[in-house]
Amino acid sequence: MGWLIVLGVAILIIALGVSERATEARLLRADPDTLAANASLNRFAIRHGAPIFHARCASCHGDRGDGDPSRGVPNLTDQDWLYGEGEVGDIERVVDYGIRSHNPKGWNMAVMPALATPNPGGEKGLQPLSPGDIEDLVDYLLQVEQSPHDAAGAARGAVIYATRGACYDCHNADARGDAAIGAPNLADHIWLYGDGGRAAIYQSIALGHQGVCPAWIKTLSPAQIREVAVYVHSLSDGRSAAKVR
Amino acid sequence: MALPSSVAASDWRDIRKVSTKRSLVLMALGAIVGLGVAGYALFTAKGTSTLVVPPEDVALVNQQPISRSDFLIQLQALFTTDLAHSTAAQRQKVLNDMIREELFVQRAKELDVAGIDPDVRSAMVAAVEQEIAADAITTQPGEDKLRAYYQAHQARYASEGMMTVRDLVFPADRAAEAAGALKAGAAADAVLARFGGHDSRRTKDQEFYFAAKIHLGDRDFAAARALASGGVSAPLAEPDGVHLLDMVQNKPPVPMDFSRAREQVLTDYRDEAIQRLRTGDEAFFRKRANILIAQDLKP
Repeated sequence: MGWLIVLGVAILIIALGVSERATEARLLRADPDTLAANASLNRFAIRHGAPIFHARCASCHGDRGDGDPSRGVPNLTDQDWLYGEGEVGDIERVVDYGIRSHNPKGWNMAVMPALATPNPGGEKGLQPLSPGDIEDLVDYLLQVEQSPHDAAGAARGAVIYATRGACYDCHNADARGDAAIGAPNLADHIWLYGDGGRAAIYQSIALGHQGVCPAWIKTLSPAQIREVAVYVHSLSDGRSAAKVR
Repeated sequence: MALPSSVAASDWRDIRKVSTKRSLVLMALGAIVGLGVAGYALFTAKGTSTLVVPPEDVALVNQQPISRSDFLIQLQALFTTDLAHSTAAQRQKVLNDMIREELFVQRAKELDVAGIDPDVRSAMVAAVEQEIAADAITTQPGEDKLRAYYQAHQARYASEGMMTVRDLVFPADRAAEAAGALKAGAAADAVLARFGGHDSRRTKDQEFYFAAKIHLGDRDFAAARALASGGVSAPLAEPDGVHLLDMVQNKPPVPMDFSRAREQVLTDYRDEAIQRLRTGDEAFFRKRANILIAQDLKP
């Protein structure tokens, strides 16, 4: 009788393995952006994606995925998406190829220049700003998000923003950012770096930023990448701030 | 094959008794499982030829996969649409383009394009360097490593110094008196008027050190940097007269603590790791390569 049980268990394990592979195949062939409508596939992906997230992503994004503004690690549980619109496909692309990851297919289009350095713009020829210019820009950004500010400084800062600061080039004329290149919205009270206070904004402008997310395409399988993307998508309600607006 | 009459039909379940039927069933099961595993491996293992397109791909071109995620990115880039909202014609167009590209890349390999086209060679070198860098970035250094790096290179991490300095120019015969008046606390504009000087306007309001250095030149910047707020430099002879630097405010660089410098520390740490890996890889490539050098160029 014992060997029958062993045989039964073996067959069950094989059947489960085959079933998992089949479900993975269905997951991979599915349209990532409409996966949420398929409850069973979504559940499967989230169940498998969670341990991958905790093993690979949580060291930066935290176990709950809520990030760390002191290190510029984005919160993945809110509706504010730096790259794309927060769809599974957008997230999957980041997991696949990373951000400034040195992968040729990664998001490498924009870097926040350090405007308090001799050569902030590299090849783009952007000129450095003076301490007073940066203070004025800070006032302008505080005005944009309707926080206390110096009106005269904000008026000067608006001119710098739209001209020699070249901030508009990435963050847009209305300072609402551009998810196509990962330029943050500066008007939504959500700050990628720091607390949004004067000192933190000054430091961002003065020293710049170039956060990095590795490319996982060589480390994780396609199914694992899809699973972790679905899991990350599930951490927020899947809607982006851009869509809510 | 008939079962021995001494073995009852139900005895095949009893492991202690010999059963030909059990042996046959187990052998058949083993064969089925073995065939299943071999078949699965045959169609899925890397490097094997297959007639089935893996689920993560949209096509195989001479067994070279075109990935589904690249297909979706291309669809988005070309038609600004996702899979659900794309038309069959759009999907077909993207697929055909990608297959065409793959075919041409494969033909380029056959033609050894890298051997003749300098642009392709440059792109290949850059791609390998990027690949090495990408590997380095996948490994996230722990906080202890970053702190150790920060401690070892602490001098690098400081804020940029700032100064507000006026560069006053006087006739050579009156500079010493003007310096005395400034040091005695007289207002700069009054001293300019009294001793016939003028403001060179080489500096403007508060400036970062690097900007002041560009505007003043190395020698004058060094003199300015050494001044405390309210200080006046020694007379500096220039072709247009004698300059006196009147330091309104000097804020030297302030060392950054680890939390403030962390991002720069991480960037520097990664850059060094990338450089180490590139050097190591190049050494490895050279070691395994058979490089013959002409007699006249041997070191």
